[in-house]
Amino acid sequence: MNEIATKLKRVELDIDGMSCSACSAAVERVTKKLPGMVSAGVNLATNRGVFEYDPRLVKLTEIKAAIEKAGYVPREAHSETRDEEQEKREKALRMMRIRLVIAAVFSLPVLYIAMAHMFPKLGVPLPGFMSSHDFPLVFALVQLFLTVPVMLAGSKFFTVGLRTLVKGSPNMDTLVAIGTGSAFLYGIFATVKIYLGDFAFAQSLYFESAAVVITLVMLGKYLEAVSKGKTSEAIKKLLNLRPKTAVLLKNGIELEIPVDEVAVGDLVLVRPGGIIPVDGVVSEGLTTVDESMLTGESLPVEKQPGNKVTGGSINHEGLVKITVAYVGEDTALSKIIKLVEDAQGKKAPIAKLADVISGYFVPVVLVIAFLAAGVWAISGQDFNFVLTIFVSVLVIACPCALGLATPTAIMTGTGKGAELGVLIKGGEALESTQKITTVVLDKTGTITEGKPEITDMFIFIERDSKDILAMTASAERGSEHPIAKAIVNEAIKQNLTLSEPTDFQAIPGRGIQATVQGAKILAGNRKLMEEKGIALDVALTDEKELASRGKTLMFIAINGQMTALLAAADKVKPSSKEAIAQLKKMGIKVVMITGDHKETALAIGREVGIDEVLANVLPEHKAQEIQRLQDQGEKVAMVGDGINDAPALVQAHIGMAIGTGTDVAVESADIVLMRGELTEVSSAIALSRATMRNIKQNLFWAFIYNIIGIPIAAGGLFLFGGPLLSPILAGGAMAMSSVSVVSNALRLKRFRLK
Amino acid sequence: MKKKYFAVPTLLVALTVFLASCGSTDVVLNYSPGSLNDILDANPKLVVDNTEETHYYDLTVDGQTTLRISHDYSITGQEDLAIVTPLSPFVAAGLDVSNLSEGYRVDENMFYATGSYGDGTGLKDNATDSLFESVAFDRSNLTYHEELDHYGIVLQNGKFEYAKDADTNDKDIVFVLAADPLVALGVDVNNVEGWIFKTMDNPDGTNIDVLLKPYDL
Repeated sequence: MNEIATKLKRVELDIDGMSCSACSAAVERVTKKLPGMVSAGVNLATNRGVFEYDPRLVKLTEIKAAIEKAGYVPREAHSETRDEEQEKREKALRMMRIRLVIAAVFSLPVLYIAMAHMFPKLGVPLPGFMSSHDFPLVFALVQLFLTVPVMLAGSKFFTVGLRTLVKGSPNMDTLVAIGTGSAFLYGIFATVKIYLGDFAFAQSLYFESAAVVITLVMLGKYLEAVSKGKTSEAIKKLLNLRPKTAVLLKNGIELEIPVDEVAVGDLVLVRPGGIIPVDGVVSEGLTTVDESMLTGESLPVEKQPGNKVTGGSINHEGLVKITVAYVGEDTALSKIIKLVEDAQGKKAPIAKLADVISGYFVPVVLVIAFLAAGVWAISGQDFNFVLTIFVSVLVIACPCALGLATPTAIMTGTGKGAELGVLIKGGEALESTQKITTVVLDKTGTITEGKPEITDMFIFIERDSKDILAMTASAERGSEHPIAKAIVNEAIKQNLTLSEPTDFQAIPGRGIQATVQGAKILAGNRKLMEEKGIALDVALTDEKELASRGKTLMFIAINGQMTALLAAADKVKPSSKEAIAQLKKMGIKVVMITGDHKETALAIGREVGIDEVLANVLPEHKAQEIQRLQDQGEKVAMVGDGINDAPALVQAHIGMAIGTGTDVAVESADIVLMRGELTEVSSAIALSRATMRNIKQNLFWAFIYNIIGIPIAAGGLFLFGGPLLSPILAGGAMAMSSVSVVSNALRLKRFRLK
Repeated sequence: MKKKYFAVPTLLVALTVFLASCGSTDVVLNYSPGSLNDILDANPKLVVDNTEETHYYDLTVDGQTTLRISHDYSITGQEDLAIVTPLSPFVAAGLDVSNLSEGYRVDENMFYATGSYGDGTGLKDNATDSLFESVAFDRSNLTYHEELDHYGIVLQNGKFEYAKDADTNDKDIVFVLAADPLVALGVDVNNVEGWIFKTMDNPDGTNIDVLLKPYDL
């Protein structure tokens, strides 16, 4: 299995020519049929497809050929720089605008000329030589000549629509092309009939229907494109954070060079107000940095030598020198951009129904249009009536709204999340998050700071406590354990001189032993002392008292004698209590999970307001505890930061990693909380709920629009004595349906956590 | 690029003007004489050639209400076209003959709704060509009435209408008199014997009250 997995290839392709969900469904359909294609997902909102395939069975050229055969143009994504892509998008939007203006400029007079005589009582003036009664051929020819530029401006509907029809995957353009094309051709036929002396045809030219419908659809597409651009504004904001140049310090000389030329290990200078160009470590200077665009945290963060800084954050008042640690795609900002981009391209399961329907939508609408026209013709209605029905059904049907309902909301939702410092890795994660009923919080590093500090020290022999601390700290210098680090930090804080230990030995799950200045030091838990035969009697009372306060204890023995008892505590993050209260208010059960013993865990739980505590859970058992909760029917989100949390993050329905945590945790998680604050958990859940609500609204309106619109266009109201829908109103309704869906999705940009 | 944007509308305006001025696009004018000729060919007794005596062709179905058509507009000073109909029904309906306005005249027995169209282009040798001298004078004197599928020749206070396709139309010839001027002359337009009062829709959305005398040939 692994062998196959490693041989799979993944490619992202930009696909031109897609106009609606029928197109994306068609591309998915044709590529999924290819042998060796493992998965194919096409996002209409980004016009991008992600294909995973076995290169032994199918080649990239074959995938591209299949897409081309379906009538679309594939291009390898990222073959251009983002600036070039942006430029291309803007150029395309500009061209759309120009074509729309041309269409509008010509279709308005067509509409005026065609409709003026229909509303004579309004006193709409029309030159006598254009009178439909006295000069019917001029009346028709003027409309024909005004309509031609509109048809040319909207030629894409015909080229794409007819091409996809021929290739067997008709799309929305096909509907527009057939609808407006029929109207236009009938207009030409009517003009010929007028020329041949049948003036009655002047009253049923349909040029205005063709012209105005095309213009309205173009308007809808333009507004949709503008709105779609706004849904990816979060990415643009992130991209704009990247400076183009950096000031390199080389041999004391300042050189301004392109940021792409900065290498790991270089020293760069960042002036007050400047943007930190790459990820690195402050090597000189003091400053505060605004990391709000990366983490959502509005307060500036203090930076001093040794502190990490992230490219894209803004340097405030200090001049700092930074040693470069990561460049290019390895920087945190680039990874965030990639993560958000990938997320915006991933589909939510809720989109599946819309996708399935979209695949059949256009052919079904074509059948309905022909059937409706046929039935009305058989019922004895004249040709004009039948044509009106046919064109109206074709142009009112809007698969775009269905196709855009989900991806636009997901793009906006994930983009908004990125702005708030909540990186959501795709639609599925977004959808699952709203169903969460239980949040399991890892204690250390999640609820607490993850940096324990020494709080108490009890000495049981006649010796200066500073000496004992210095010796213990010297012995612990080689240890990676957080309590060991806390002891070393405490010694440094008290300006104690540390010695180099000898015979250092770490005893897993117990502690350490080492020799410092000839003295044998044992530092560790009760088990270590018991195993080494150290008498603990003197420490029993203090041990009990400290444990009851939730402290983590470390026994110190020097030369075989119980010498001291150190207590460490991990400080609770200031926002943890409020965050847990928020989750509870949202009706979510909050559980704490930790490897600490029960007293410590319960003490922390009491402090932050958590009622259910799972203590003494070994790292390898955290996932089992999650499974147990899932077996009880809970939808579980696990929030953690460490390597040991990774299995639990994967096991949970949703894994949320603290962004300041380990890479493994971040990679295992579905959601990354960039600021490292628990309040982001409720933000993520609330955003997910808001996004899913938005998607459901979009899908509801997209379905309802088509379910109601198509029967009306097919003459449903006329059947019961109501009016017949004109193709112009049908086209306008269609344009507005997709615009309304995208506009609704954009409301998510105003999301605020209540 | 910008020049192109200006060029296209300019071209279209020029094209429109060309179309408007181009005779071949005036299909109503092109087809309407043919329709009248078809009616006259099918009904040869419809027109009586009195040009030798009076310079007029008389087009009549019942021998009473007649369209008089001058064969040379330059020599028929009084009127070039006229709907001529017995006077008595109008008098009976209240017509004040002593106070007739422009576009009307009467003689001993007949009431005339007249039209004058300048000097014309000279002598014409048939009724249709003579009738269309009025259109040559002013194109707006020719109309097409889509609702009835009729062509019409406009007189000052009336109209002569005929079917575009007599084979399918049940009103092949229609004499039309505007009602309002007659009302101003004291006529009770609802009670003119032999004439039908009707309110018609104009293409410009207005209504017009008329007296009609239709004939199915």
